[in-house]
Amino acid sequence: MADILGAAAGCGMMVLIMMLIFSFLVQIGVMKKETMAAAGRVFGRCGLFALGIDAAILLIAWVALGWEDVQSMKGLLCHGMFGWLSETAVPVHTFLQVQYMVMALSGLLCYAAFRKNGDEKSAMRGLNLFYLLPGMGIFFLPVSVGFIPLLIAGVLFAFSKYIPAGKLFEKDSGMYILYTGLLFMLVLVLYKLVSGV
Amino acid sequence: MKRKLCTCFMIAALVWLIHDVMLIIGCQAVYGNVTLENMQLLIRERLTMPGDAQRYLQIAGEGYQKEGADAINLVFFPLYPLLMRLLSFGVVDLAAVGMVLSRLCLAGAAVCLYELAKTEGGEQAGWYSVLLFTVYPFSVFTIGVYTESLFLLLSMGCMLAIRKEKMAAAGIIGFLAALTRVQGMLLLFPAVYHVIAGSLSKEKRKISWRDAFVLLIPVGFMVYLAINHSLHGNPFQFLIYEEGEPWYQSTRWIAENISTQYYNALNFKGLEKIIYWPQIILYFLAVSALFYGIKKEVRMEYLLYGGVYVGFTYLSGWMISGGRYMMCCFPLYLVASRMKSEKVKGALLAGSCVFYFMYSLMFLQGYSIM
Repeated sequence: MADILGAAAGCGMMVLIMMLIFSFLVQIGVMKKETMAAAGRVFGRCGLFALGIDAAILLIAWVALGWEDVQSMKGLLCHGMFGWLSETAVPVHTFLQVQYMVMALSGLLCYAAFRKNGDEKSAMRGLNLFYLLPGMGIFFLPVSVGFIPLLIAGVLFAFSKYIPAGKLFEKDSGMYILYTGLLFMLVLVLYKLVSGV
Repeated sequence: MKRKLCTCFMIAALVWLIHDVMLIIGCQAVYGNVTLENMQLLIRERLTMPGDAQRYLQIAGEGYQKEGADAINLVFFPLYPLLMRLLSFGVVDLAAVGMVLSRLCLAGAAVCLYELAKTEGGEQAGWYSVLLFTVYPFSVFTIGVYTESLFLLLSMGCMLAIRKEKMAAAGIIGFLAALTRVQGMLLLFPAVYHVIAGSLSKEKRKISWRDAFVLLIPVGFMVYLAINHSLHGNPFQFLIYEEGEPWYQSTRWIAENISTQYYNALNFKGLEKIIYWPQIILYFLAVSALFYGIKKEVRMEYLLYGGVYVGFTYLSGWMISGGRYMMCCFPLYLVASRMKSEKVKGALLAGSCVFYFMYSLMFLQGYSIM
């Protein structure tokens, strides 16, 4: 809990600094207001996912392991693919901040990729799906291969002109079924994580 | 002009009245009845003695000391104790002068806040900001022997001067703010931003020689460093004192500090509700408010000052007065006054009022609210 709060605080300040810089660039005409607003929306969406996933992890851990174990993220995650955390003296919130910022930057690249051939709404739906991809939720946690989402988003951005985002992420009932399915898978993954994968 | 003066008197009367009502209720809570003698005892005991108040009185009375137990009071900036000393004329009780000075500065700060908020959002925004500021949960410190009121007056005065394009006044007031608290230096950010962004933006604001006055702001801090050097041969002696007892200060990244605050909230029973949780909650509220301000296109100078102020404050590695420090982050009141929803504004004001009376009464009863 302490690590999540600390990481949220640190990232909050970093994003605030970025948004203030963007505001300055808008004021002097170097950046468009719409671009800044879009960046703000992407950061907000990433923040919501980070919050949601961390809240889910804490809730699952609380139910599965009890409140005491929830206090230390190192204790909570120190097994399986996160076992390396027990061998480092660096606080977990440092790694969490890095991962949150990686996910935020990945989100920006993704959004830019989908916005090429789609409108604002379809780009944001694409972003939702990116964050909901099976296993993607793990990258909001301190993983040693945390740069993978950045790679994926980078590839999407590189091939953005071939992605028909407008058609792919059209709003219909199928989209909501997809969201629900992916959320369910996410919760399963998190549960596996907490109970020792 | 008459109307403006009338408004100023009304603002002063309102802020003083709210605090006096709180003092009367406090007197009832502490002594069981309200008499003049009890009021004087309460004010003397609780507004002039706890925490930093005694240290300001020591500096005002005897000046900075080169050695001895009082040498560490060098960590406190000189303007407030200097004003107390000057206004006492060597005869009047320093504590009484300190409280009167705080009250007058509080009224001035409230007027500046009203003007700032009114300029951006009209009279209603002005009154809302003043009310919210007055019932901020830790605003009891604005009427005691503390620097909060003076610093608020100077920092808001500097921002108002920047807003009104009176850059020479902004520089001089900012200089005085930097001599009152270390955060005064941060006024350089909005001042420089105003000059640079104004000249590069569509407005094409012309840079004039008066803009150079903003460079006086860091000079205030340099004067304080010069005092350190003249006493101890080290301009950064205050940092050495801050690292030691009783402050144990350090500079660490915000994430580290908020994590520590959380652990302290779990381990220091009794202090979690009055120190640690308020500090954690205020941080997230402040950052959220600044994001909201960016969305609502609140003036960049205010948001920039708010951002650097919050960041600077929460870099402190062993913070126990965060609630008091955040009171001086006045852009938050300006952002709050720009909220559209009257229900949310009302709820925020009501909530703040509840906590104001709760923490003020706890402070008056002797709880460790710092």
